[in-house]
Amino acid sequence: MKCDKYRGTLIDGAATGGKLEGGLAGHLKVCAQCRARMQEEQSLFEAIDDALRSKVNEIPQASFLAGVRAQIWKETAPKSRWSLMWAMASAALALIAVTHPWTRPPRQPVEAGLPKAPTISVQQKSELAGSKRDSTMGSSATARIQQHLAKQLIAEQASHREPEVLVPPDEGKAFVQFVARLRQRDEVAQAFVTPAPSTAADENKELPQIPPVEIARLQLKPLIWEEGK
Amino acid sequence: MQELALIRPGRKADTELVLERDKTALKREFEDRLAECGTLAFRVARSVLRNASDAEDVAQEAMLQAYRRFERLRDPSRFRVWLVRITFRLALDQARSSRRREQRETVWAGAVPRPTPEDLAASRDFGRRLDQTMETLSEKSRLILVLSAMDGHSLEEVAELLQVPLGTVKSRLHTARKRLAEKLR
Repeated sequence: MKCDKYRGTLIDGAATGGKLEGGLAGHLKVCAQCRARMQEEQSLFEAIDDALRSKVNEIPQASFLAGVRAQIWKETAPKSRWSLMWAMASAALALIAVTHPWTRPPRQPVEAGLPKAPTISVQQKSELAGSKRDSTMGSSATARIQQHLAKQLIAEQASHREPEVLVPPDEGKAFVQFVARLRQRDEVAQAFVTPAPSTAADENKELPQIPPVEIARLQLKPLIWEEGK
Repeated sequence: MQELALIRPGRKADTELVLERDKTALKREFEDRLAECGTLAFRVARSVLRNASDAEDVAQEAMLQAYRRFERLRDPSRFRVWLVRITFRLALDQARSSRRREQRETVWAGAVPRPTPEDLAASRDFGRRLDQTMETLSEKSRLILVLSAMDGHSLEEVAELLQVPLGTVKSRLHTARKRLAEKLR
């Protein structure tokens, strides 16, 4: 009867592995059967803990992390492949794009190039409406339109300050990356605009040395001229 | 002849550079997190699945999902919590689908195969019995048992990983071990 009373606390005691409560400890001293039961329970919990520990502390293969890295790399890699030809073509275009703002002559004043077309359209509109406006009214409307058009043109030209480049559509992003990288490398642009040696004295001068441009996932090789190609 | 598109590279270049830098930083940060938590993901998966190769696949999938959401999971503690949960979930799904497949194949075979003497010997193996018994426990109990058995995980850390109070971890762990023992007795 007493053994049944302590059954629950016995299992709890074995599970926690801590100090046993007074009543149970006293009972275990006098009851060999419950002592044996207690030992059985304790070894069962130890076996559970050991088995769990050995199961959950397994070390993955060394290739596991490399595999995950490769998978992530595959996921982030660009979809289209760069061919060397397009890379070189874009590189050449990029150099032109970078040096273009320095070599371009200053722009003409905006008003000088204004189109005449709006004046004509306004006049035509006036005629079609059959109105009897005098010439001063017509010219003021024309002036307003001209002003408006001038503003439009200024805005348009401001938006065109960046050079435009023709590239294959699927190479646009990579090309932009190339230009971005070149922007950090002033020496590349300087080397590009340095005049070629024209005299014997110039030839002795040292040409600027530039380390190669590096862009992740893009291999850049110098153009090599081959006879007959 | 290939068509050409007119682009203005200069304008996009700065934005692109910033984006590229961000991406590189993000990737580097994730690499650190991968080295730190990759084994944890594997172990969580392994605790549910019966073979290491399946566990590696599941852990890899979990890490990939983590990478896709990494911008929202940059906080290291949040990352670990999320990773443990997603790995456990993926591993459970994988275990369920393998079980279903096994059942289907058994039905297709026509008759339930009789256990061989080797199977009987294996069924006596404590580890296998433990695996089978673990499957009968609730998901919460299983996760508590697994995380607290992992090397270097104190109960406080388990509480942090599961985002429950320490007392809850203790009581759940106690109940889970007792239930496990009851079934294995």
